[in-house]
Amino acid sequence: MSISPAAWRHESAVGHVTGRAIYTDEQRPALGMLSVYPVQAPHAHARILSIDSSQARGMPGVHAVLTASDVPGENDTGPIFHDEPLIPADLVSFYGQAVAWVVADDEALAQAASKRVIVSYEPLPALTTIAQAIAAQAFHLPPAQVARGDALTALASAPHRLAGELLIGGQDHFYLETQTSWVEIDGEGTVHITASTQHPTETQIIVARVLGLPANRVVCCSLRMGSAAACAWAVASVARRPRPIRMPPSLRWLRTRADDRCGSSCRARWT
Amino acid sequence: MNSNPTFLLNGEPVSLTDCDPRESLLRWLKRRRLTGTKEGCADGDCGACTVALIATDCKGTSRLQAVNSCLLPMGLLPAREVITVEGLVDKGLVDKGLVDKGLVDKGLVDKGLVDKGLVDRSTVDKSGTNSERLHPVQQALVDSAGSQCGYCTPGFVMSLFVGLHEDALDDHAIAGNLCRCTGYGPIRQAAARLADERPQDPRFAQLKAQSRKPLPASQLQNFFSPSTLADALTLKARHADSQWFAGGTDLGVSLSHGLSHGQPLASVLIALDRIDALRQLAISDEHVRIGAGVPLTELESALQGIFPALDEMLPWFAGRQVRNRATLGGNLGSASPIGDLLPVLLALDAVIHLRGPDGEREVATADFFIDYRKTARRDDELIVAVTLPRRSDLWSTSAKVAKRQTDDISIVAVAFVLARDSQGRISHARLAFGGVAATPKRALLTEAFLLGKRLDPAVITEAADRLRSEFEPLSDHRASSDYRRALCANLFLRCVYETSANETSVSEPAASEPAA
Repeated sequence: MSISPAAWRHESAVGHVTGRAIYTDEQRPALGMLSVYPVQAPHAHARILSIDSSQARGMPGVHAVLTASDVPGENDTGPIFHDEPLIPADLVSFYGQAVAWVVADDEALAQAASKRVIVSYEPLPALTTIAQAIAAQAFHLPPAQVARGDALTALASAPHRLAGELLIGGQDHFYLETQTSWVEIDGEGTVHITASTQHPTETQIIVARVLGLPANRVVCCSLRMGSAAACAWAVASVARRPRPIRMPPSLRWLRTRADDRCGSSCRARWT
Repeated sequence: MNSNPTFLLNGEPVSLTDCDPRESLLRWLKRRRLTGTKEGCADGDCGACTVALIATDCKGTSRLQAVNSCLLPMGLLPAREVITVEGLVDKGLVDKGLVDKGLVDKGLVDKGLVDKGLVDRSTVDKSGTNSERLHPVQQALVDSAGSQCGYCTPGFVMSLFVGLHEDALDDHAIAGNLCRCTGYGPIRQAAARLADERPQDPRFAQLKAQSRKPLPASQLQNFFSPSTLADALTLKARHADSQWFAGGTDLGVSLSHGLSHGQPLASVLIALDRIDALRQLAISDEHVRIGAGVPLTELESALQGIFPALDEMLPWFAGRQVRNRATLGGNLGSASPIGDLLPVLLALDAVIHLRGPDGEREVATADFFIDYRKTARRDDELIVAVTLPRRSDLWSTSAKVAKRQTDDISIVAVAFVLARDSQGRISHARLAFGGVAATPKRALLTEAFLLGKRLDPAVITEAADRLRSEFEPLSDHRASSDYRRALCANLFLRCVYETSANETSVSEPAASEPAA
């Protein structure tokens, strides 16, 4: 029984079934590559009062703690609307948002140091349900209408009318490969990103924007993905930083499943 | 003990000296650049890290076993045999003389082998050489378009590989594997084709047939695997800060994350899976005595038909990779309020056998659970066995509701046992629940209500109403308190009516009995 002719086979199928197909984190990042780890906000909505990273920066093997002021270009990663700061300067807008990034010799150290970054917050009221948001007239974007004809009049004269509410529960994707990326800067200053992303072009453009570089100085490659993740620009954006802190020009970021679940700003209704 | 511990990885001995015994096999493989085994969750939920273990039972019979490598600490590995996805391709075609080595060296293709079906054309096309052959499971997935992004594929390959060689290629073979994008249709088609054609790969049949001795006791730093109960108890007495380690399907998650329910793990771990005394199963007419270390998949086959409530719960307990390692002792020792077998043990009046420095004692399951994850077991005691009494007059059933059907933590799990006297009146009732309180619990008030009554529709409805209010369950991210209450009532209704529709033995007096 042959379900699909050989000619239709997935070009990577043999690599997939033998385990030889290589994904982002399994490529061989350069030796000496540093790791980054986020400092995540424990509030859904809060004002950032201060960030004290002196303890973390004092740990051997920690190279930098990056905050909003370190972003050399436009501090924004929104692909269409420019409303998503890479690192918020003063306002936390979702639980788990990264307010600082620790750069260290390896993942374990970066993670340990992230716990030593002291952030002081002023918690603000948070709207966590659709009903609360409507009551407060707090819309994510101005409400958009798609209109044709006079729907209200037509409904008013309709012989049957149904009324009710429909709630659509968004769900987060369970992509199998967690979000991963790594970055190298070559001798000419070109930023090379290797990322598990389904949109390398978007990643290239956003990284260039955040770094204040022309897009032709940023290259993004995605060999293949474990079912479509994104978000490489966070790493790329911290890869270039203002002097005087010296830093080897390569970084990697591998998220564990737990970090991945609470650090994503997308598809927020997890019920 | 062996001072130079090793294990066999795809047939090659690998030294374990200096290896971190708490690191998972998954992470260890990744560090060795054996990256075919994938990390999706590191929690035992997704199956992307599935590998095959050779498991030898106490009779000396070996079988292949799919397990989650993320839950397998290296400390368990001395003297074991592991097969990863890298070990499936048959690279021995040159050695067998099937391929001309001269051609391979020149990178030339021996077209004749493709025509004979000995070599997969896609391999030839891709690499320009043909010195290897895909395993039939790999070939079936290629042919069925059973991979898209490919990240879950090695895990499916390994589950199907074990299913094929163990003649267990049903849907449960892959119930512990998640796929996010390919879709299960093509994967199940591959499984169906394999189940139909049963292609053989003699390499693995030979591997299974080898005679093996029981695994010897081993030690990797502070990770001990004694081979006798006495040694296990001695180790426990010697190390104040030590912890038992059964199948590791719960503690393995803790090792991955460094914490066990917010607490650091003990500095010494004592693994129990090499102790023959814990793996015995004794079935008599009066009772069944189950060694605390018998893997759940072994219970499934050995006890099938004896306790319907157990039969019905086991397949939904978790994916097969987890059930291959999980044990009754581990489930009881963890004492989670959502340990799925605990309501079953409560409902079946199981007796738990504990062995400590002062000898053995028995505790009824009903007296075992004291508070959230607190039990009557003293720290120096070991759960050695569970005895389930057999009664021919019992009707028993169980059910579990979770957000997804397979391989998920339950919202509410139930087990019901009833018996009626000759008049059709209920003479024995056990209604046990998980997920409704800090411990697994019986609904004692509703049980008392049922005693002496016939299961007519009014009584069934009244019992369900009482079950709705007997517990005060928590609201959490899995479900609300009200939903859990509704489940308590509705699962009772469902179990009673489904069974009576099938057998007439519960809600109606059996036809063969004289009317009262």
